[in-house]
Amino acid sequence: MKSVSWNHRAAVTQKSIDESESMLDQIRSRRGRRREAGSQDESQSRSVQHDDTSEPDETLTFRPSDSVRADVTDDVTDAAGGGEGGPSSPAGRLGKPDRGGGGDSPRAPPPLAPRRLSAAGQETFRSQLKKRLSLAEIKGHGRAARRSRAQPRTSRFDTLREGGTSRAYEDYMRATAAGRTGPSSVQAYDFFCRIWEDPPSERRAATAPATPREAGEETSGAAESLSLSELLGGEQLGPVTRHVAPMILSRKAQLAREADIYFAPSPIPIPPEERLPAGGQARDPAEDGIYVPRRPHLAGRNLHKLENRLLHSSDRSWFGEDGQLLCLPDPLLSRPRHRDYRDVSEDALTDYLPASMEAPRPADPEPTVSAADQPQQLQLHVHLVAVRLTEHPLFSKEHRAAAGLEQLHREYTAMVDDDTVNRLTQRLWAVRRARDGVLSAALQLPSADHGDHTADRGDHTGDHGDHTGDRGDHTGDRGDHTGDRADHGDHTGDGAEQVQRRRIDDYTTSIQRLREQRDAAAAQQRRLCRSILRRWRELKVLREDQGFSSTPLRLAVRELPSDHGQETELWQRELRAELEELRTEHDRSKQHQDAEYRQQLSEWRDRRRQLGSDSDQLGPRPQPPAEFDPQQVLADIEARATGNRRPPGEPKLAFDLLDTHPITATADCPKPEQQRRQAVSRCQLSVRTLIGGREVSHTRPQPLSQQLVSELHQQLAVRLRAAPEALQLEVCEEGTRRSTRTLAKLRLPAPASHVTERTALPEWTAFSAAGSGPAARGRLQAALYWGVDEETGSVLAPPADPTAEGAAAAELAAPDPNDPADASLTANMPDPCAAAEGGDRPAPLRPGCDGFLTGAPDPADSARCRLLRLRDAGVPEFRHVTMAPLRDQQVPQQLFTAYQKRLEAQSAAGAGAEEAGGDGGESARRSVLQYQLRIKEMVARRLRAAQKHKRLEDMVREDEVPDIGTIGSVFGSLLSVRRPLNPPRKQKQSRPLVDLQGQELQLLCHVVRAFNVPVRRDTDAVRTDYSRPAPAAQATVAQSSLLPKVSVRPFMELTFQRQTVRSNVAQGPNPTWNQDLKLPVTLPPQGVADLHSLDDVIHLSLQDEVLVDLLDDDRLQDTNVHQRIERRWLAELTVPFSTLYINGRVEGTFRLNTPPLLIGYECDVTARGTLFHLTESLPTGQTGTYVTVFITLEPPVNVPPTVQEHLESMETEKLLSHCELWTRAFRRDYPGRRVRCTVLDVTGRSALVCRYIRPLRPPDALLAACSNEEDQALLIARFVSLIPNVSDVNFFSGMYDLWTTCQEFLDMQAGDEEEHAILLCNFFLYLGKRAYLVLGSGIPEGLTAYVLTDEATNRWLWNPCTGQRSSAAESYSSLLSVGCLINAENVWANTQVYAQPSCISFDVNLVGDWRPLFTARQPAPTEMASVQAETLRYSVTDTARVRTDAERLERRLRDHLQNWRQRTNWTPWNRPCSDALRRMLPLLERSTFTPAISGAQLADEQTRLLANIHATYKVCGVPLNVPQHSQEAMVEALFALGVHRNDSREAEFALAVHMEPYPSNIVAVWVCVAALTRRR
Amino acid sequence: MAAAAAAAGGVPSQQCFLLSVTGQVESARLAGADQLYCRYQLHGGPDWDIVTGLEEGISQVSRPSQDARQLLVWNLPVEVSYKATNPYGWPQLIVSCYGPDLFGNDVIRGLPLFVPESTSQLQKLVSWFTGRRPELADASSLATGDGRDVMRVRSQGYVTCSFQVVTKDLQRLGYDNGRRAPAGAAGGDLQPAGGGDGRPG
Repeated sequence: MKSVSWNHRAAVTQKSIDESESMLDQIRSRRGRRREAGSQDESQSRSVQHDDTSEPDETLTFRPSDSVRADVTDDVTDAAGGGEGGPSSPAGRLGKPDRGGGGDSPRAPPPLAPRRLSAAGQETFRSQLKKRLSLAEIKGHGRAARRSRAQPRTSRFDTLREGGTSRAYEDYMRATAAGRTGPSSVQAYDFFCRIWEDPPSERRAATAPATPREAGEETSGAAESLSLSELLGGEQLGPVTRHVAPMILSRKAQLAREADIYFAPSPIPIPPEERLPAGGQARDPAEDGIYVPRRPHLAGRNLHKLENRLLHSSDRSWFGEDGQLLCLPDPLLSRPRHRDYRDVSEDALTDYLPASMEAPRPADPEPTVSAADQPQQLQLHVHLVAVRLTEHPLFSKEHRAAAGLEQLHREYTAMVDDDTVNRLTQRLWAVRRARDGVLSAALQLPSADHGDHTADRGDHTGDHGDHTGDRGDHTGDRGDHTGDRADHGDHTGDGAEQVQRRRIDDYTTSIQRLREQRDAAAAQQRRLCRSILRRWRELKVLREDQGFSSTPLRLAVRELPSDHGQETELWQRELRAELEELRTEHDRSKQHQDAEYRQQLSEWRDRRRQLGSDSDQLGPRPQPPAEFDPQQVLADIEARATGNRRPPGEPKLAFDLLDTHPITATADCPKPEQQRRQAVSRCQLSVRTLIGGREVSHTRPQPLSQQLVSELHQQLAVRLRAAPEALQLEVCEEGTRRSTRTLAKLRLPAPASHVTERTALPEWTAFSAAGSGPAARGRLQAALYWGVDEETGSVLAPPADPTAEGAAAAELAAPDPNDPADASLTANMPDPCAAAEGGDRPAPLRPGCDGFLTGAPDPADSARCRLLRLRDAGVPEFRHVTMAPLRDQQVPQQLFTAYQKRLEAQSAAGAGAEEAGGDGGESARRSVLQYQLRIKEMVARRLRAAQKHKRLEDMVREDEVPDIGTIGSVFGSLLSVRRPLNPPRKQKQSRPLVDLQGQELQLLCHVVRAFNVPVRRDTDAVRTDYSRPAPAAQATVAQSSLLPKVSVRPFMELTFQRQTVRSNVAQGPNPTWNQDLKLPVTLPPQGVADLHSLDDVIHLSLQDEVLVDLLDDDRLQDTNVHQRIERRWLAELTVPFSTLYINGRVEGTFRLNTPPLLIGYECDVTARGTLFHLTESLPTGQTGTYVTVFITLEPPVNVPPTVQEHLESMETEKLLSHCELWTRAFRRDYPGRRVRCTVLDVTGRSALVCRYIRPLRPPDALLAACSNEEDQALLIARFVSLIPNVSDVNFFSGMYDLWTTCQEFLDMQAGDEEEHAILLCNFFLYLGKRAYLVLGSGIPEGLTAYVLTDEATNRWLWNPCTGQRSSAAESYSSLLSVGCLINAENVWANTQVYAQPSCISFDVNLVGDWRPLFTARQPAPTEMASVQAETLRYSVTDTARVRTDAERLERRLRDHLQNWRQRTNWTPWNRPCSDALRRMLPLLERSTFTPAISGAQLADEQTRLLANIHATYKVCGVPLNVPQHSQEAMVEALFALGVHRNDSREAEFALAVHMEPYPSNIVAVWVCVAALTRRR
Repeated sequence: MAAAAAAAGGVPSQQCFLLSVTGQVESARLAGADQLYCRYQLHGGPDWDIVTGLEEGISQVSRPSQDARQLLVWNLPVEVSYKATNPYGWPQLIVSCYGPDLFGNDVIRGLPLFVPESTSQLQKLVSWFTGRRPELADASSLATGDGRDVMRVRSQGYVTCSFQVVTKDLQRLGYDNGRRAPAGAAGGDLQPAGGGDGRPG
């Protein structure tokens, strides 16, 4: 609400207008509140009128003149009464009418109404009141009253200013009352009435003379007085409400006033003294050593405010002794704590039982053995699992050998598992130590009697120490124990020395015994080891000899790690110990022998004396006992040990018997084997069970498998009255004519009474044929156990025979609690301690439940567990493992060895790279490999992690919300013409099959035609042609040139995965085939899912078929045909399989890769264009050979979409979204054009493509090689093209499009087109060219990248993978469409009608032709740091290594060629020709980047070099140039050439390899292979 | 027998346990559906291999019963035998129901427990309009639990299935599933491991 203007000193007119306006406002606002009405346009008076009529409580009429007057009077009264004047006046002026209005209003008006009546209205009101009151007014009194009232007015306003309106009113009342002398009746009336009377009106009446108009009003007022009194009359007045105008003070005053009311605590800290009670001293409890908990953190500002507030209220009780605010300690913990679920298992709802292997649960209630007094009800279960024959007439030789091997292996494994040798060795050492202890004790203590005791004790402690130390020596010690006990018994009687000696004797004998045992066991193990190896060799030889294999057995020999130094030490120690022992033994026996000898000697002498010296009966003179010869003995010991045990340094072997050897299919086996197998398959085995001589069951006959195993898997349950001693089983062979023949009989003892199904384990029992039948041996796997009564849970077994256990216990004189062998015995013995305490013994821990007790292998260490873990971690070797074997033994070791090998290779490569630091060829290559592996692994890990984060799109298939465009097109389609005159082609959305199960994937290649095929140059020398015209006639035909000579008979050959298929032969240099070539695709081991990892190359080669006449005799030519077909390689097209896989198909006319020089052929330019109009479209001067093909896969394979993860990015969100929008808009407008704004780098971050472009300095060697700039560019292009091209799909094994930086690219020496193009572009930029990266699609690689250089003379398009350039204007470019141009600043998308490079303008400044990513409106980011390093590091190529590599490769290729030609058996090498070729190859390499060397020059050079050879031979050769990818690729390329298929007996071969080193370990490899035929 | 085992994956029969499930997808109760057919899929872990039986099946179209229960009865038999070397990845049954919607489009009416929700109300409207409701790209992802964090699902009803489950050699290989074999059982440690009906939803 607009406040009333209080500029009283303003001009009256202005004031009146203000007043009336304000009034109008008030009225309006009131009306607005009541009902939304009234407009500002209305005229003043009208609005007032209108207001009057519409407001029922405004009965008075106002006129402007009234208001003017009222103001004037008001001013006067103010001037007179309120002498203070100034700012107080408005308050006074406003206060008055309030009072009057409030009091005089006939009915209780709305609270704001009186004030809003304001001066004018109130004036009228007042005057009327005054008239009414004047009837009874006493003038003098009135004057006095007025005088007296003048004073209180100011005071009232003062109080009013303080805000108490009611107080002001009371004051006023008091003052009024005080001004009177005494109340008369009139006064009383006056009092009651005068309260409501407005004094100013009265004053005005006194001071201002009444105008005539006012007089008139008075009369009318008198007429109305009645109605007014009526209004006032009987009504009770409501509570008085006072309305105070807003008090507006100056800011200063306001602040001053507020300062009393408000308190603003200051954030400034208070000194601590002030916080303490007066005179208090701050005391820090922490200083007194009292623990002070950490206070919660509170912002200092807030804390000080709070303190200030508290202090302000002078409440010091909030502060502690130290002057700090009292508070509870910080409730927050410094680190998060949550309940570990592993702790919960105690009170968890489900009981967690740790997994255990082959063990019954300890929680299972043990079935109670039925009481003996009940009538015996026994139930014996027999579970016959399998019969495995180990010898049988049906055994082949191989089976027998395999069975022998298996048997040996079983024995060996048992021995190894038992660890016999080790155990005996340890026992031996334990006894030795004990003996040494006794000996040293005896030496130390001279007092024999006392010493015996201590020695004995020492002995015991020594023994105990051994107990805890080794596991193996218990049984050995046991004997000593007993010996000791015997000693204890009688040592009092005997002399101490004697006891001691006897004990030492005991030890010595037991050492001797143990040594022998140990030696025997070791010898046995070694023998087994040897015979296993021998058997295995025999088996292998046998398999090779017979040419097939019928057993799957395979022995895998592992070498266990061993510490050579430690072994040697042990070995020596052992030898020394043994020598010492032998020496003492010898010494001891020597005394005896000496005595004997002496006696014998004396006897002999006696005899001699008796018989005479030369009597026959005298016998020889006894020999004195031999002296101890340490050398001899040591040699003996060593020889024996070497024979028996594994000498140090000999590899420690472990054998795994695997079932992985492939079994030859029956059809491929020779006849006898087939018959044998048939006989086996006819044979059936059954088992007859007899109890007590009565047959209780005869199993169904089960067929014998080819491995001579019959899986029975049959169970029977027998109810018995008495427990049988044993069970007889008969293994029967079911003959063909229902005749059953018993093979063998065996007995199985009845199970112990506690054995139930849970505890019974199937065991193998060996059997052998009884009686006269053919020899048959085998093993039967069976389990015997007692049944359990279902209701009572009692075991239906005979009562346990305590004597049996007793007997078992008796076998061992003193069971050793620490001996694992006695564990079963001791476990069942009552614990004496527990019995003494009377407490219940806890349930015995069962073997298998506790790894500690039994020494069972930790499950985490088991091979299976490891396999499962690695599979879970997604390690590539294990990712595809299904049906992980249940037992460790069956886990194939190959998996782990492969994995281990890879890990080792990685670590070795890493170590090697670090050590060698890049020098040395091998390490350089290894480091490259290592780097590749590391990058691959990193990328795979990141992407796998990213793939785990599934997005909604991955999970749920949902249609996108159609936007306006789609809806529009939907409705537009309704309106479109049904049958348009120019129907466009609708693209079918193909969703090819993914599931290829049961189908064979085929490579389908349709070769249509080729043109410009090279023709034979040496035609006149070649006397052979298929038409065989006479040489003279041929010449004439050729010269006439009316008829084209049949100069070449080309055909196409498709080679993939070493399989080959060829087309028919066409004729002439422009052949047409129109033929489908199909080849099956061998899928990778993981099936179609891993198809992308197939890195094979499709070779499509153009070859010439040459018919060579073999007829020696010319006379027979008319009647006979005797020819040989030769093939000559002309050109080829290589398409990586990944290209085909990604694009689905490869289609078009391609330029074949022709070698720069074809020996024996030339591109006959004149032959072109004569037959085919098609060739006219070829660019002039282009000499390439072209072929039109269509390659696809059948059935089509669904290509997974490229992974586009929204990973982290180095760009801002804004930029990314701009790129996204821009790309999307462009793709919508121009589908099929390739454009990229952001790409992933190897770390998985996305970056703007422009960041990849940066001028980079090429290797200095390249720059120095040429001075001419153009040559430099060509050489650089050549250099870049030599880096092997590996598709991302292959390299990163997944559909990712990653861009590596140039340094990474050079380090990895592998990359796809984009990396090549970036590197080339960056080099060109360094050379000062205006270069752009071109993304588009080309043939045959599909999506590709080129480099465009904008030079003064021409615009060149460079193919970075071949190093060739072509003019942008050329119509026959392998780049089919241009999607976008990229440089370091911007990306331009092609918005021209055509996308072919020949049809478009490359001026990126043309807005209509190119759409830039960054425009003035959307500028490029100001800071655009390149991802490329500033300078590239180039490693130095070792030329010596390159040379040796070339030699090695040449040898290898030669070997391969010879191997492929094995059918002909003889591959002569023509060395002069090889040398000539080798000399030629560097020239060829130079020609690739030197346009000056033309084809003609090359041909000349070749003629010069090969002149001698041409004279005697027809040479047909092919130089082959491949970037060094791998030697395997080279071998494949050589295979695809097909030179080795030359079957001619006279053919000679020449092969030369040249490797041209380039910087950074890049090598250009040239292989030239030629076949030579001697001219006749 | 050994030859058969070898053909079925190279694991000899002694080294794996067998699980045979026979049963049926009996009926379903889905609100507001009047013609439905169902499709079941069994999803086992990497160490599980099917021996016999079908891993997937599709039922006839069924109409709700004419009583208050509004049951859709299929009685689609499920018979499958697995062999496995590892209890991890115990087979799970996934039942999806399809049927025509208001416009006659054949739409997914729900994997009874998990019907993916549209991402927005607009999507919902559009999918209702076009008859292409959001659908799981691969229903077996329900069994693995990968990516469950990104989708919202809603339950539409429930399906009653009943199974008889028999395992063999589970105990022999040292696994204990808390059940005890009756002593008189004839088939070795062939034991019924579970039965009765599962009621998801």
